[in-house]
Amino acid sequence: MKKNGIRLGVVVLIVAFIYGFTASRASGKAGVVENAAASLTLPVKQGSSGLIGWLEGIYGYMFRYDTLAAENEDLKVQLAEAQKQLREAEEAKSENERLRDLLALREKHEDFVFEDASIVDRPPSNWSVTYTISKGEESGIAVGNCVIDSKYNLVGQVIEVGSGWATVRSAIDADMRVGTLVGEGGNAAMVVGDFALMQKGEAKLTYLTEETQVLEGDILITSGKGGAFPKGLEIGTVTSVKSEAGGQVEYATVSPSCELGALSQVFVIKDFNVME
Amino acid sequence: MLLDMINFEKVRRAIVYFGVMLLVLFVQNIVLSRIAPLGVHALIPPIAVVAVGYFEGGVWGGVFGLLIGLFCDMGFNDTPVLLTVVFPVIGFLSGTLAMFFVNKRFFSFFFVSMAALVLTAVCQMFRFIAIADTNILPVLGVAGIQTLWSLPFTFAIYYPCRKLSGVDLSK
Repeated sequence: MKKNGIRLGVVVLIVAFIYGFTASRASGKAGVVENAAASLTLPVKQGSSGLIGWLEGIYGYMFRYDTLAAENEDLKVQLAEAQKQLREAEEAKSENERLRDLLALREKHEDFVFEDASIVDRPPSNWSVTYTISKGEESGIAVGNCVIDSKYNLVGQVIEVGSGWATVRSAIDADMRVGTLVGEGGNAAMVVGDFALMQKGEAKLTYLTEETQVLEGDILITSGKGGAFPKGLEIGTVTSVKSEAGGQVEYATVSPSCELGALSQVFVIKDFNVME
Repeated sequence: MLLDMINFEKVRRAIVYFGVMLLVLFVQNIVLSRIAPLGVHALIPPIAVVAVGYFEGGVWGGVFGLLIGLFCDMGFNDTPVLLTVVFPVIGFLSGTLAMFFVNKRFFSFFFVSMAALVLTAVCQMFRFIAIADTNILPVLGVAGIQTLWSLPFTFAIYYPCRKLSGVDLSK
């Protein structure tokens, strides 16, 4: 009887415990019993989840490292491909612009016979400014031919020709001489190379007549006289004017219109109609 | 029989100095062409010519100067044959100097190299002074800076060339 009473008491306690637990879960609010159980199990749970995370990290480091490294390599290759395509697109765009300029130039001067060439070398001399271009006598290029850029600006003149190469004397070289027209009146003068100005990337406008007016910003074009250069090629812009005591212009400095330092492609004018 | 007529030691030295010439031209045209303090490039071939003349004699210096001068004239596009003429003279004179008048230590090499650089610069600027109507000061400035920038390379050329030639200065 006593045993039955104890068993009954245990059953009642269990039923009461289950009822209390279920009731607290149903109400959504933890009871005392659940809180007590949770306070006991929570540190264990936290510890075990931390341990699992650490073990997963080790597993990932050991077994997924190669996968990630391979993926990284793939992405690097894809990035390099994309960068290459971007560079090619930029080059194509640049070439497109040059060819458009050239097309406009051809339409403007149908008498010009062009040969396009690349600048392959810029000799490191302290005493001259010359370029080596990629085409020579096999392309019909001859000594004295005029060289321009795609925007119709004077680059220089061919001074030596070989097989597959030619040397171009720059418009600012100390030995360069080009006839020019100055100002609105179109007075004749000469753009000549000067050693000191050559070091600064400039040339000198000289042989000016008394009636010639030169102002800063004047654009100089080739006169076409003498037959070495076609008329109307842009040489450069007057950057400063040096006058004598009487007020007459002694000479002016000229900055070339073409970007000599950035040139990569040039056009050799092999033939043109000489206008005297 | 035919092989006995060949002096393999001279052939070996010729190959070595051909390599030196290529190295000097590479440094001049590829490296120094991109370095221009105050807008002026250094010029090292005259120093190499002096070094070969110093340690191998005037004839070797002259031949080395002729070849490197030819390549320099082709590379610089300044004048057709100026350096082809000046460098052999420098090579021969430096060999003669080292044989009869000066020792082969660095100090004397430095001054002979400086003289060679000045001679080269004077020859290069001659056409601007004597022929063209040019302001002399900028020309002298470029010549002076070119010589000045080139002088530090005497260190870089003297010791390797002395080692290559096998000259023993301890005796």
